[in-house]
Amino acid sequence: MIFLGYKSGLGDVHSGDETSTSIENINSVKELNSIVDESFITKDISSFLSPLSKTWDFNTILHATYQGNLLAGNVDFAVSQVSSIRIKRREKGTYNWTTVFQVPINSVNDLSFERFDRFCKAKTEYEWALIPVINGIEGNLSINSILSDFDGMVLSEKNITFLTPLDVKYSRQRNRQSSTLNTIDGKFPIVIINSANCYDSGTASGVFIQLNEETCEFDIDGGWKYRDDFLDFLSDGKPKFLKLYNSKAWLISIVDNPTENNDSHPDKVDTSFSWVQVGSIDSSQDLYDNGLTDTSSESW
Amino acid sequence: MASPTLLQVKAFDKSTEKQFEFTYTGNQPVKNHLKIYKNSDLSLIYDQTITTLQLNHTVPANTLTNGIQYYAVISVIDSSNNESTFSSPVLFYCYTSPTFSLNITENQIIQSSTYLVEMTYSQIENELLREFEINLYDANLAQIFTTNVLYPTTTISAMISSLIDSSQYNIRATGVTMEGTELDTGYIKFSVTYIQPALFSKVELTNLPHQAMVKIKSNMISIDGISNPSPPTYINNEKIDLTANGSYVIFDSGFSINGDFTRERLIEKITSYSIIDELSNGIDKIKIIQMIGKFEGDTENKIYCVLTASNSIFNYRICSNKLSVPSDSQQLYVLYQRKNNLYDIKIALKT
Repeated sequence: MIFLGYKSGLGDVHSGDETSTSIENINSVKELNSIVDESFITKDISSFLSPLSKTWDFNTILHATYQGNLLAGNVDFAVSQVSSIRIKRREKGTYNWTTVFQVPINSVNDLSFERFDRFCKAKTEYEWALIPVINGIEGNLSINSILSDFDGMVLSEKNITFLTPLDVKYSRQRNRQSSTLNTIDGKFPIVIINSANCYDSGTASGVFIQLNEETCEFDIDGGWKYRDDFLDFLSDGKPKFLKLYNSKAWLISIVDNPTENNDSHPDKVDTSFSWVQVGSIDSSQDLYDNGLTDTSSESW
Repeated sequence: MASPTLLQVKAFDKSTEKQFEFTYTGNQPVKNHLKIYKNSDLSLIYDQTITTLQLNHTVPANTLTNGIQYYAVISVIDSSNNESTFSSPVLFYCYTSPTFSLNITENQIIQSSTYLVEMTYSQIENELLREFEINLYDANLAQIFTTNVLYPTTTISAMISSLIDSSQYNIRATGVTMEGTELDTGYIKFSVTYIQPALFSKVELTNLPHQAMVKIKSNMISIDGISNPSPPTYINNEKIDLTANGSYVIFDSGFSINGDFTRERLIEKITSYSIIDELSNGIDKIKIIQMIGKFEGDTENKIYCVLTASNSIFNYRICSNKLSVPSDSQQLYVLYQRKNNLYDIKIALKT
């Protein structure tokens, strides 16, 4: 432009305008070669006159005053911006998140917490996201991923899990309603499918003995107590999450009568039961409606 | 002659004309003859023959009365003036057009990422709503959410969630009354704008194979600088001295800067011709360099700052205003701003 001159080759009124230069996701601020008293960044661009107001508000990003430390955040203010943190999960490579927990935040201490997700399948890599929420509005996502894996068969409700890796067997059947009409004058019948029903059902069995996690030994002598509790669990009438070592999983209800037999050995008691799928494991609504999560419709 | 078959008639408002359609197979009909009776006392309300080759008959507006059940029969007449027998009767209602709306108005601004959409339905003669459906569309009318069919006996509302800040959406509800009147709110355009909460947490995940669970641990990340040397040299616990060669403070966790921003620093004893501030996303950088020089018309050296913003395509440079060289103890405000990816910078002495 210097060589051409505005009024020669670049005659338009905007020919000399700067080119907008986008640099997003700035996550590093480095200060050097000076004595620094104060350092401040805000999303507010309404003022361009020093000194700026340094009151923490929703726009403040960073404010370091170097009063014997290098802190530049305001945790107390961050807490005041957040009413809860939502924990969402999705299979890696998919788009839709499923809300699994919503943790209320009332103080700084509430920001450090642990939760246990019982409803993730085996041999499946998941992403979990922590999302701050205020008045239903979701903020930035903090994401991490891990491979979920385990052995055997697992049955869970919201706060209780029974599992066994021993002698796991299962069967499943896909159920859909149809009827076949045989006509008098036609070679082929007519199939009528009037229902949207399409669900799985099946049976499952395994030897349920509690595993001591520290010694990695099965509590064979106390197995009867564990199985009694398991039978009570199977008979409580509540929907359950059934998942298997091979990444299969269903939201089910137990039907018919669970049975035990020890045909092969007195201590090798096989517990078997029948199940019917009652919802989708990927649906926040189905998990909530069936009592497996506390996250209601506002957080889906 | 064969008799025609009158098709089902959905409820309609008397103030609109109504086309009665029928099917017929036989000699070509040149006229048709429609009779409408009041169902309660079988009194004849409408009896007209019209000349048309089409298999329909239009009843003018305001012929019937709202809130009344009628039945209709129709016959056809061929070119020899032979009239067929009348069709089987078809029952129908006249009802005043219902009101059907949502609690979102055109161009409304919703200040939340979730919104409870409520449907309102009313009809003067108390005809009930059979079912309805609410659909959410993006600004280009591509459908992004549907409630599927809802029944008003169960719910009259639906929660729409995950609305994105600074976005435009369209919402539309359709419904059907008990007597088959189809309802449609049309596309209602609305915008979403809100302040997003920002909190930076570290997510720690642990697979627990013996419990068949995954442990999710959250740790709050505070914005805590890292210095070289560590610990840094504080001056009266009020300032930090970064004038030594190789010393710096870096903040690199717990925040993210996107879009417009303003940055202000209060500094002193600046090393000239050196970088005094650097913002980065790991690849691209915004750098501030303090310069000194004597310009045309000046009798003494002046200081100024140069802002350089470089991404993989552009290299943006802009200079601040000039100031007389401050003493080592004089403090200087360096203020710069990004607005729509354009930058501005200025410096001022603290008074």
